[in-house]
Amino acid sequence: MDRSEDRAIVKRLLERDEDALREVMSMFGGLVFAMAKRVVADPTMAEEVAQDAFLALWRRPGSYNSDRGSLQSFLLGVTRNKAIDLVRHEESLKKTKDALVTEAEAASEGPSGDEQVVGMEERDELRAALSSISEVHREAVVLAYFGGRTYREVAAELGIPEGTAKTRLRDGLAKLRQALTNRPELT
Amino acid sequence: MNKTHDELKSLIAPYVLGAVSPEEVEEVRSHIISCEECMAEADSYSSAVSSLALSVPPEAIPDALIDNVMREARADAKQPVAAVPTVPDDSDRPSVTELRTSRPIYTLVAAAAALLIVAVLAGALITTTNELDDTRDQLAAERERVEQLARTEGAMRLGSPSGDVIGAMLPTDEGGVFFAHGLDDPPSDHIYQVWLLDDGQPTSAGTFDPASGVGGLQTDHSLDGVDGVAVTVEPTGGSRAPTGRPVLST
Repeated sequence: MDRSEDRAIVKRLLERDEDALREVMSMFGGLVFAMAKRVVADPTMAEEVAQDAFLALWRRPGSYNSDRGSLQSFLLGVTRNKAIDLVRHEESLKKTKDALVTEAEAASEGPSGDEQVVGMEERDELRAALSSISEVHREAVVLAYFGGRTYREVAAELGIPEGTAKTRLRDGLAKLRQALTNRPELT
Repeated sequence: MNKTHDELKSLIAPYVLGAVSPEEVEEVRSHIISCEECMAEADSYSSAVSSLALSVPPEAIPDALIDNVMREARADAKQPVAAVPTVPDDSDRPSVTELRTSRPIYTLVAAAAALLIVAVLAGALITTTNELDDTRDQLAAERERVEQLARTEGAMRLGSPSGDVIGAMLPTDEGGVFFAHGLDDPPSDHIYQVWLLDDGQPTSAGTFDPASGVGGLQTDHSLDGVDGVAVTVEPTGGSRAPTGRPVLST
């Protein structure tokens, strides 16, 4: 789905076209729900997060800007932020470090599954990039991004100084960026 | 507060990952906006952060998800997109003259104590309003500046249905700063009015008159609890409540 299609469907959302919302959910529902589940330990609560993300798009379609990325990336970012807000307020919904790291490693090394929007080849490239990062960097980045930990919490959980946690997050992103360089645009 | 450049730079990666504490977010954001080097570093991580999101393999859509969303969507389908309701005639909202005051962003240039973020915004505005070499590149750069501001954490981005006009509302210690790019001049005897939405209820954040398509204002109204922003064209002096569809909304 290219950006012109993203813009077209958002234009329909602005016109309050309910079919457009249904189409968006059909296209991205599996990804949005998976993102919520990656962050939130309770599948029922993850489903609520996914619903909130789609309703947010329905209520404020103008918040999407195609210049900044795909509708898919936008929705996943909204979902991630809503999920993080939830786990930060409800400690029991927070996933353990081991669960987060195991899931991230499975995603980066496992075979391509039932691909919906991001093509199989593209996701394989993302997986290759993620698996190219060292374990210590991946662990820190995953704890922060999917686990909702602040860098101080990352430091405490990994038993490392705060400065080291910040460095691992920076180097992890830099290495991921490097691994993605010269690959097709993914956003 | 008062961290050094190097200390703030070390927080750029945690910031883009959403891993700085709520107390530090404002400070890091303000620094990124004012520091080209840190802005560039934050931008450089965007593909990496996107790849994290896109690495999650899809799952089957839960049976009830689509039905639940459609049910709620229909419930508010009668509302206009920006959810700017009309205010009942018997409203006890303040009169126009009592509306929250706002200062045009121009005056902030002289306010040496203004937040750095405001100075950056004002600087961008002056660049545009003083333009004698109104090149396409310069306009594109100004637009990108607003986009960058809207991209920072805590900021709200506004867009027009056509996508030609963009705006950003950024929280500050004293309220918020609003900035828009690409606006047409309003009809004579009219101005633009900014509305803060809290559960769909509009509160005026002030009025402004754009110059060369660029305009903005500072409001002392806290953005806590504000879940949307909209801009409408109103008669000079402002209105008690929005009288037309928004030209810009979140």
